[in-house]
Amino acid sequence: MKIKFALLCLGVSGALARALTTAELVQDKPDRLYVAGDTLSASSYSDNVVSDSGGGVAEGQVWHQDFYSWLDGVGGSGWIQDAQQSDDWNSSGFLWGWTNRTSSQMTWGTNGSGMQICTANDGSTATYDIGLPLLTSEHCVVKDPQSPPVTLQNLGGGNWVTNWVQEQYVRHSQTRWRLQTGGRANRSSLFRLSATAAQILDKRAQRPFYNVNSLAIPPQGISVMGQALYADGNLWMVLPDGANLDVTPYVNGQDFCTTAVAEQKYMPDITVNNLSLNENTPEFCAGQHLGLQLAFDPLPETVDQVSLWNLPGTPVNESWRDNPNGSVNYRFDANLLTNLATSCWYSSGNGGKAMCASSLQFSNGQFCVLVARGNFSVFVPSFSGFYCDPSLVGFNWSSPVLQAQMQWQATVQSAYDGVVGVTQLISGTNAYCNCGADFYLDGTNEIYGAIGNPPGQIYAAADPATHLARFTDFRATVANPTANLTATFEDFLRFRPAGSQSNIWVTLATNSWSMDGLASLSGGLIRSNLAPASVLIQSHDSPAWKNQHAP
Amino acid sequence: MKKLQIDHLLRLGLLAALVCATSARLWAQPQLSAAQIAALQPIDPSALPEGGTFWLAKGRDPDSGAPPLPSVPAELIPFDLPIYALGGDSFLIDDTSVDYAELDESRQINRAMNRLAAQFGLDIPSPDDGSDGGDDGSGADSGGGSSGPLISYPPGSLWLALAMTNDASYGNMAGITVNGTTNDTWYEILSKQSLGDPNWRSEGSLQGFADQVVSQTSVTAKSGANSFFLSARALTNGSGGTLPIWWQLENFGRTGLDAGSDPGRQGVSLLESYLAGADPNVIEFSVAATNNYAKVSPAVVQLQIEAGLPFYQAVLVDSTNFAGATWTAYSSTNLNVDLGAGEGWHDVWIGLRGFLPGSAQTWGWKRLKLDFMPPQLTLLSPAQGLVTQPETQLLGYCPEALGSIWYDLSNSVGWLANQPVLIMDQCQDTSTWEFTTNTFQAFDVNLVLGTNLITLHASDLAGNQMTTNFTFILDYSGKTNPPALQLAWPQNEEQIGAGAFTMRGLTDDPTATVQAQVVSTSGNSRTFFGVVERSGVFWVDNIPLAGGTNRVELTIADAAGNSSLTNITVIQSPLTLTMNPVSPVSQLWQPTVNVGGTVSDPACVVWVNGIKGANHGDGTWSASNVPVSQGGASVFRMTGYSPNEQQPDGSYGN
Repeated sequence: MKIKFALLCLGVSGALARALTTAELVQDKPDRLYVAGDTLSASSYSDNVVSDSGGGVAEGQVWHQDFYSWLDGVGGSGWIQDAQQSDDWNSSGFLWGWTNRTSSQMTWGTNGSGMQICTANDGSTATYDIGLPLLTSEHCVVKDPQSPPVTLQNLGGGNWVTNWVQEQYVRHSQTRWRLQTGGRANRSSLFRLSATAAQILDKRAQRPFYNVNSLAIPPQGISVMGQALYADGNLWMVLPDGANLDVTPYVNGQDFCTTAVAEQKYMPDITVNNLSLNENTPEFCAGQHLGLQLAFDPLPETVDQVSLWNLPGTPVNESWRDNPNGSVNYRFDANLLTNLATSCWYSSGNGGKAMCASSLQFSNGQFCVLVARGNFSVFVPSFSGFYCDPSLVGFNWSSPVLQAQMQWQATVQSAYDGVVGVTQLISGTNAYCNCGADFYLDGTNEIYGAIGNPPGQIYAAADPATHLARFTDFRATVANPTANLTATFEDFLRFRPAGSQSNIWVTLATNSWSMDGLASLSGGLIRSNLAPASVLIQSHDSPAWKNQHAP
Repeated sequence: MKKLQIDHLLRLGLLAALVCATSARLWAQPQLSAAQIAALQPIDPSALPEGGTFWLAKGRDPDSGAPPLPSVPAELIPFDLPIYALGGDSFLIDDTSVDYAELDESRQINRAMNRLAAQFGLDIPSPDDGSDGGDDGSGADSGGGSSGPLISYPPGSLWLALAMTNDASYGNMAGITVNGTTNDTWYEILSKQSLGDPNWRSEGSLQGFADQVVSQTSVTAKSGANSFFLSARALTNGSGGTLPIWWQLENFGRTGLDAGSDPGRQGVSLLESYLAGADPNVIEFSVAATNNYAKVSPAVVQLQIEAGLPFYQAVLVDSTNFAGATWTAYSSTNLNVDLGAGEGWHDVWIGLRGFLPGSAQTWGWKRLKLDFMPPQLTLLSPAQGLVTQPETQLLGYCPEALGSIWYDLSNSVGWLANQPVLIMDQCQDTSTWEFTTNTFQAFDVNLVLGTNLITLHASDLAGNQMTTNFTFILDYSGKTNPPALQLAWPQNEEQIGAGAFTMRGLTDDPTATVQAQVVSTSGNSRTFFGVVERSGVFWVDNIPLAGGTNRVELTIADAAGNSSLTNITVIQSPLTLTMNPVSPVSQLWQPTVNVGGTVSDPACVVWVNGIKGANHGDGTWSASNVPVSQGGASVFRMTGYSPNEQQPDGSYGN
């Protein structure tokens, strides 16, 4: 951790020149399967002694040693040593002999280029540029000494030849595979790992193992990351992004086999209204219908999928109403989070992290549980500048008509286009309005004073002229012989984002007011209590009513 | 019993020619008609008839040295066939007019039965007794005594021609040629010195020429005895072929082997092995085990026999004293190997051989590790006990390779079983060529307030299992400070030459949440959620940048609710710098890449990750060998320098 802080500090110091202009491109890396290392050590020795009845002995010895070690990103080194020695004795014990020794030293850099220095028997050297060694994935632990019985060839006439051979052969090799899962280390992806392995039947087979006798190993006998492959040769795993993992295949019980590994990454991505949460933090407006899906790139070959969603904040995802005249209400139903895709609305909050846990089943019968995450934000329009002009509030008696007037205004701020309106609920227990203890929708439209539904005042984010929302309630009744305008009101300043018909109204604020007016043809204005509406208070509660009040 | 054997041989269509050879006179003078004798003149080969039966030398008269005369088979005498002298000791009887099919078949069979009966010690005429056996068939087995006629054999029958020599050292020697052979068929020459001897000795084998009725070469039989009985028989592939009994017994311990079979899977038939003088039972095998790691002894290994029929087996453990190995009867391909009591690698040598103690031994090697101990799991981080972060990365190691590892989590929320633990790295021991220390990690383990019990399960490659419990108590009460935050880019008052930027930095709490709030000129604020990597590196992607000064509020909060706010302002520069994404994206794993992009100022010098680029003056720039940052995401920092600004290398301008 300290090192990384230091690196960051270095990065900061590099940008000390504040007048300079900088910009950065951040690009996620893909997955990468690679041979991380390869080590080979081989040693062989053979001794062949031929003797004859004449007393002659001929011995030939051959030594060979081979070693190299190579690491991805590091480079490697190796050497080869060969020696041959021949000794011939005649019947008199006279010896003819010769020895030949050659060797090579190899080095490879990180970029794969290498150099080989060959030393001949006479000590002279020659240097060559070489490429990377032939990388062949294998595991080898072989020891194969041979000492066949001495053979005697009777040539007749008392002549014979014996042949004695002894061989030592040891070979070790191990290729190592790693998987860089790519991407940022804060999420996980689905991977399909597959591997093949073949048992090398020829104990002394050499790379690249062309045309050697081999026997395919069933996939179930191959393990990757401690898990055996399934019969179809695949192993589905959920692996963390941004990790570097050892995926060297292991074949239990095998001493000499070639291996190969392959992988495919399936990157999950939660999309909201088809916007990726992997690439950005998309923002949506409160009231906007949000459709969430779990997408993959590419699409895995699943045969079944069960998902469970977890949404940030306090969304609602289901509408309901008591009766046809009642309000359309919204609630949260957890059962709807078990679908492959889900949807919701937000009326408050600022978003956060959405999660989708999925149980994926594959054609080989394997199950994987994958949790995908992503953030999105929710913009909730706000208001300001509430003003209720007292001069515009009050009763007016103009026999036989009793009038009441309420008017207030506020400025709505929204980054999104939409419609602004006020839903007004009314409650009363008198002749003018008798709702019992309940609040009814004042009128027949959700937005008070509106003729159509959904009506309201167009809000254009780019047009400040549309941002002032005015609410006016002007009502009258005719005295016969009295006129009563008594009721209590709750107003809901609401916003409905433009776009989809599935978008809903969300409440920005509420206030309340009441009127208590009584007039009679004979007595004139008897009571006239109508105070300015209370200050708008931020609220995201939706209005609820069981019936409508349509005077 | 003998009768059955004779019947059997007859049923197989074998007809052996038995020749009784003596060191003295082998052949009697034939009885020829005057016409036949008249015809016995050497002729030009071109004048020979198209068909006929060749007859070999019958040997010169040892007394007079006169050339031999052909003995006409008794069956052909009535035909008065022309005989041509071919030179040397060979003659040709023109028997093209003879319909052998009309000859009495029963006589042939009787003769053959008699002849074969003689092979089994029945009474047969002495070669020197002057009796030729006549039509009783015994004469067919004889070279004919001095008084007997030369016997001819019907087509398909074999007969031997002998060229006798006498060697001072080795005694009598007969060069044997088989006549009446069929194409490429092999024939075995057997001998015995006494007909009472129940055993025949193999003198060798011959192969018939293609399209000729004579063997390709001859074999030499030698005997110091006065009597020397030879027999030839066809060695045929497939059912009914014959193989020397002694050879079958010597190599397989039983008889009745099909000559055409290859029980040893040598790639050649038994007959071919026999004829080649090769070991028909060279054993090739490999030693396998379903698991190279054993947690009990004896361990079971499997023998994969690739060739040969093993009769005996031997096992050596950590020893190469092959000569001192104890051989026991081969039982099955599954073998229990006592590895002793010592843990570690053991060299196991399995020996297999054929029937005889002297059969070639084949040894196979297998390495098995005896491992009684369950894997020892050590937790590296976090330390057990109190933790203050709700998600942790469980890191540990095991000093040996693991076959499987997983964990269960139990806390107040419930029980979560069989959660994956991944092997991150393995150390390789180049002396034992095995993976040793395994480091492992359980990613993103979610903890809840209170006690969290993590039960780690692991098994090693031998199957030894270990279960270890680790307890973590998540408690925020002592965590009062917000996470530390270090902003990497952009810094306060940074001039950014783009329309959006990704804010990044580092925190000491990977479980923290990071949010950036940007207030637009219209007053609307917008929240951008960042992602925090397991290392603490955080990113807030694609924050839009408005013209002029932009205020960014960066909030970092931990799970305990501690938060801190960092305010910076960034300025959108009039200079725009962009870089084209690296493509193909796999190049991002390279140490360096070549990159390019656009720049709005043709005089601006662009540096990328410390590498000076070239401004092409046409609104584009490029740079070569630009280092790629480590990690799962690569960052390319572009910096624009005006011509009068000093660059990192001290230079000015392009």
